[in-house]
Parts: sequence; structure tokens; C-alpha cells
Amino acid sequence: MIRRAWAVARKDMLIEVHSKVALNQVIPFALAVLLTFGFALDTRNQLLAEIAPGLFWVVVLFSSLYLISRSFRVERENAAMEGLVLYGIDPMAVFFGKLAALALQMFVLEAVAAAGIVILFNPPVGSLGLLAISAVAATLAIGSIGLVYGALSSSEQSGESLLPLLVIPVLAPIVISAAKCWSDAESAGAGIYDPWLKIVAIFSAVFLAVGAAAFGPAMED
Amino acid sequence: MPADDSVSFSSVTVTLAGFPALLNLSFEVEAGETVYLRGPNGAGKTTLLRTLAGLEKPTRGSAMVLGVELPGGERSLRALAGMMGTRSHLYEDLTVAENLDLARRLLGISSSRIDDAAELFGVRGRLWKQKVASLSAGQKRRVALAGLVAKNPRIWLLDEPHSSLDAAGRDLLDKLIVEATKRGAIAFVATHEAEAGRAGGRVLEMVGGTVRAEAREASPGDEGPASEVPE
Repeated sequence: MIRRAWAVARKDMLIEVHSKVALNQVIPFALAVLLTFGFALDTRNQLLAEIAPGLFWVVVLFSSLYLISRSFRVERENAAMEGLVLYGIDPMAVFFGKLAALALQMFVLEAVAAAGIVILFNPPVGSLGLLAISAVAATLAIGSIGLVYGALSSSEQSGESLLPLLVIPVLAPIVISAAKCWSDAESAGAGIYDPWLKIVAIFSAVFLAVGAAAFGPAMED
Repeated sequence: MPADDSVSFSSVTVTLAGFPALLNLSFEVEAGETVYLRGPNGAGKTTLLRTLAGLEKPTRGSAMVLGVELPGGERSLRALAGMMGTRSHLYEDLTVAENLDLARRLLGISSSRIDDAAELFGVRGRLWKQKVASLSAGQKRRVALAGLVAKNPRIWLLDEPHSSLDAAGRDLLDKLIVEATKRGAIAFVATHEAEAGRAGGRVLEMVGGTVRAEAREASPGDEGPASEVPE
């Protein structure tokens, strides 16, 4: 299964290398949203540093929806997803392959968006470890659920516009928990034993398990 | 009891969005046979191919395809089947080489098998590094066929396989079907073309999701006229 998951991940990453959608469209979108908030609320305003964690995760969520939509748009063209199904491979291999490629793109997006937040809003950083671990866990959770709903909605004609409506309510708890984690990480005494990190980790484990189990039926539907 | 290399449908009904696309369909096919599915639009030819590929489930009745029972064994069947529908299953943003390399990795086959198949269909040369998005419909068809040949399926499921192909491509495909069936594979070819069966084999006339008539066409080397066997 690992060999096939790697083949799927490699395929999705090659598609990004050729099309540069994340680089040319999604990352500029994330930065544009941050800039808009910066100008709208005034960068000198202390409020910006306080809302930066929430703003970061909302930007990541919306930008991720674009990446997820894109991930299934390429599968719809020429019925390529049906081609994957016809190889008779375990849907879990497809799930973990697509999750790996999506998570990698999201990590790049998060790194750029975090740099933008630091430059524009200058929030204090108390614990880089807490920031990083919560980001990894939240990324896997967003990616897992996003892929299941992406697969479900990709067979519908209005699937792409349906995706945010389906995904945002489900992912709201993980986005809120991750934002709380990042708020805590701003304080000097913050560390990886933060209570919100436990919640993010639990959500991440549950969403990952649910995603792995539900992706097969969603993909083969 | 059907053999592991045969196909047996027993009163199979496949319902799609409430509509019976296949209706009480029964037939048997032995290893090495080529079956041409002929009929008007909506006759159920594509649904039959998709059911044989494990992409659709029988809602009533049962089928045994290469020893795999349907409904239930769809995933196992997909690994044995090679299907080429009206869409190519290729990734537009990847090159020909990358698409076929994906097939190699997912099938766990050698590079030489992919190279040989690509050579056979003439996509190894200047097309090799081209993105699929830049290819013509016929070239995409050739790339998809190269992937199918490399898979070496036990059952070939071809939906209008001649469309977009030039004369040389059609002849090559017909030759490959004959060679595959000689090795014991089964081929199902759905077509609107009147010359269906020109390579020899059975012709199933489908209407309304079921077989209306069956004929056996003589292969080019055989003697005697084709026999019509109305059902």
C-alpha cells in the first residue's frame, strides 16, 4: 500500500509542479487576504496581533478548500479518478497519497502565511514547538476531512461550490482549537502541554481515522 | 459451475438512478472469446462494460466474472480488467511519460513493459515528454491503449475503441484483441459500427438493457457464412 500511496502522492505533486496552481494562485490569495486585513484594520493596531492566530487559520482553511477543489478537479478531467479505481488499488492508498501531497502544499502555504502574519502584524511568539505541532495536527485534520468531502462532491455537477458549505461546519472545531493553540503560543510560558493542543490532537486522530475509512466509499461512489 | 476464466451473467439487472440500464441479462462467455456489443444509444452496452469492470454493481441477479462473484467482488475484478471507455483516464497536466509511469507504479510492472507498449502505439518518440493536454483525441487514445496493453488484462472492455483512431491504429488494436484472446483473455467491444465482428467472434445485439439477438461472425480466416441466432 505504501508504494501505491507514494505513486499517488508523487502524481499529485508532479501535477502541482507542472500547473503551479498553489504557487501562482493559492498562496497569493492567502497573502492578499492578510494584506487586506492589515490595511483595513491598520497594522499598528494591537488588535491585529491578538486576532492574528484566528485570522491565520481562517485564511489557511479557505485557501485549503481551493487546494482540495483543485485536487479533485484534476481527477474529474478525463475521468482520471475512475482510472485510479480501475487499477484495483486499495482506496486507503489513494487517500494517504492524496493527503501527503495536500499536506505538503498546505505546509508551504502555512509557512508563507505565517511569515506574512509576522511581517504584517508582528505578534509575539512564545513557543515555536506549540505552533509547529498544532499546525501539523490541524493540517492533517483539515486535509483528511477535506479529501472525503472533496471526493463526495466531485461527482456532483455543483460540487465545487458545495464543498465549502459541507466542509466549513465540520472543520470549525479544529480551526477554533488550532487558533486557541496559536493564541496560547503567543504567551511567554507556552509549551507543548497546552490543553488546546490535546484537543487539536484528538480531533486530528479522529478526523484522520474517519477520513481513511470514509474515503473509499466516497471515491467509488 | 463457471470456470475461473469465463464470464457468466444470470438475470442481472443494474439500476442507475432508478433506471434499469441492464434488465434480466443472462449470457455466458468462454475464455478466448471476443464479444461485440452492438445496439443503439441507451441499449446498455456501456453499463454492461462498466459492470464487467467492477464499476457498477448488479442490483438483482448474480454474475461470475473470471471467478469473481458479483455483486461483492468488484474491487478484485478491477485488477483483472482493462477498460477503455469514451474518456481516457489520463491526467491532462502530466506528460505522456508521467502518465504511463504512474500506471507502472500502480500496477507494479517493469519499465520495459511500459516502454514496449508505448513503442507499439507510437507514443514513445516526440510525444513522450508532451503534456497530455496538448495531444489530439487520437493521440490520447493511443496513450490510454498503451496503458491498457501494459496492464495485460484478463478481460478487455473497450467502448467504441476505434473512435479517434486512424486506420493503422484500428488495425493494430484489432490485431491486439485477436492476440489477447488467443492467449485466453476475453474481449468485450461495444460499438455502433456495422462491421463489428470483423475480426471474428460473437455479436450481441442489445436493446433496452438486454440481449435481443446473437450472431456469430466468422473470423477472416474461417470458411462459411456467419450464422444468425435470434433469441
